[in-house]
Amino acid sequence: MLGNKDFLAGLVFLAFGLAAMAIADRDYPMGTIVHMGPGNFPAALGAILAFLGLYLAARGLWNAPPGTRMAPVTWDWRPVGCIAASMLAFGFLMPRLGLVGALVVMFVLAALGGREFRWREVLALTAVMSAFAVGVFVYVLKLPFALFPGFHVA
Amino acid sequence: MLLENLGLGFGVAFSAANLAYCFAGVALGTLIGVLPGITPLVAIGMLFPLTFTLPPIPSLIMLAGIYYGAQYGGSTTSILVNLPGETGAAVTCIDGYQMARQGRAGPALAVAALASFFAGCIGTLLIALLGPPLGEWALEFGPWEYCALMLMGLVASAVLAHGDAVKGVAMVALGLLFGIVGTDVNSGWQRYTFEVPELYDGIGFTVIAVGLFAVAEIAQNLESRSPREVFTGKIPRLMPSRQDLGDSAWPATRGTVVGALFGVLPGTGPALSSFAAYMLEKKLARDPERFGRGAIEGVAAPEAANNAAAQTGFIPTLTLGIPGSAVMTLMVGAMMMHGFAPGPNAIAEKPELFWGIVASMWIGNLMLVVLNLPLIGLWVRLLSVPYRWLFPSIVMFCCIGNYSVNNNPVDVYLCAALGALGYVLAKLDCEPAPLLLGYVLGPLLEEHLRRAMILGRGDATQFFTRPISLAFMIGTALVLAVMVWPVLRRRI
Repeated sequence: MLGNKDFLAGLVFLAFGLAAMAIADRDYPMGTIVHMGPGNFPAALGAILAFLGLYLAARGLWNAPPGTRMAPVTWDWRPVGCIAASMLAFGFLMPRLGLVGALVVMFVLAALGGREFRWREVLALTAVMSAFAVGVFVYVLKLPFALFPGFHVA
Repeated sequence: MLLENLGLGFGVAFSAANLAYCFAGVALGTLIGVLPGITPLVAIGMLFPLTFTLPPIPSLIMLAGIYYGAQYGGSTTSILVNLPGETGAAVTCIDGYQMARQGRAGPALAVAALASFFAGCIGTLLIALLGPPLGEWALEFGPWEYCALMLMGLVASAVLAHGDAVKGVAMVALGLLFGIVGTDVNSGWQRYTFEVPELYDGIGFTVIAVGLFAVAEIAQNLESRSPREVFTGKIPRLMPSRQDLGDSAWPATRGTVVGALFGVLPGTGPALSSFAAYMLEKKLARDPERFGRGAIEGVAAPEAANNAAAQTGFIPTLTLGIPGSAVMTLMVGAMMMHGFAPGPNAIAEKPELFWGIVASMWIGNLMLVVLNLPLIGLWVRLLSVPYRWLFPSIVMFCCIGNYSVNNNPVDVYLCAALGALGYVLAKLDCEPAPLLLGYVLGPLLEEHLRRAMILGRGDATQFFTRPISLAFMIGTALVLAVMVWPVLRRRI
């Protein structure tokens, strides 16, 4: 079941569709057919999405027995987890540590998602790319980033 | 009239500063597009925050340059690494990579560039010729026509994208929902914002594009274990022989025609056109078995088709405001961020912008040839940059790009979340391109649907009684028939 692509995709769409419908129904006025309210269009979309999700899930189950046409999906959460974590860390640290500190943490976390991790290489890459980013984004494009806590380029 | 307009455009594009931006765009686009594992979409997505700080015209010119550069960089990787940057370049791999293995990488790259340039010239001319009349015609469109046209584009993008059509339609619906997040312009209601103030203006365009395309793709690349064979040998001879040029002249011309036709259809875009052009050449060839073994026609035709379609794709994009492919969607999103809403009024209201973009496309194409032919050696060396250095650097561009839009960490958080969602969906064989198209068209579709309902007093039959709207509806039905047909046939 957890390797069945159609079934899982169907569940994802069904969840989004039902949530969209439920929220639209609870919170937004539907209006009339002539004057469509803010809830009308999203509720209709949610219904379509839920229906398609249901169909996909059913199709996945239907085709699931031994004669499976599809290779089961295999998950590898480390790369995507590391990349997402590195981005979250960047966002969190930018206002607190400034660009340089945020980039150092971002690079190390992102590189942990790769197949091989060599400290020296990662640190060299961090140094080169951070210098590049500071030069291009802060000095050339003049984005208003703090480089270090409290240190802005005028 | 045409000459006058093009004159205006070239006047805008030929200023020293704009030429410099065009050059910078082409160079950066190629540089990033040629790096292994970076598709043109990712390249455009991560580079276009660079253009935010510029005024509208230079930034759009630079963007067009990035677009062509990335496109060309993609065909370079498909010839040298057998790694198609995007579906459009997949066909080029077949014969291009074989040519590279036979030591003819130089002529393959040169022919690809020249065929692209030729197709680009014709394409630019077509935009200049067809854009204004189409724009005038579209001025007569009411909300019904717009709804029907968008419906056709959305359905086509879902069905014709490779992969499962049902999943494509579901992705479109999900994209439309993402597009609705934010303040409703008609009623002022906050929809799906969950009291997060950063969402009141909707989910940012960069957030969606970068998350779904760049972040999700890195995650996928990192887990695929297949080593790729990189062609890093010396390229002995660059210029194609006279016979090579003669052999590719007609295929390039035919490819241009095929590509130009497919390019204007919404939802089809370059991918289908290059495939169609390749099949056509194979049909026409006296000895079809040469194809797949390094036939130069197999490089010239799809590359010309690819570029012609990329170019004519701007026709519906600029005149109707309805993008036909994922890359076009990115371009429209970027234009909107600069306050240029493409549509029928755009040509009349901002002629210098419209014609400036058209002219700079041609210049961008020319610069590609000038820049790339001498620099191929450099691009080849870039191919050997290991991915473990590349991907953290791409993540850096994604972070800074998203952060710089509003100077707000929430955009980066959202991008990370959408990247994770995009990864899950991609693993489940759901293509991200239809979602992006839905996201851009969502608010437009709702707006026009509401207007149609108010004007028709709740009567929906006008969608089928107004002739142009009916034609688009029939088109939609035909595309849907393509989707349902295989299922029906299996039952019978």
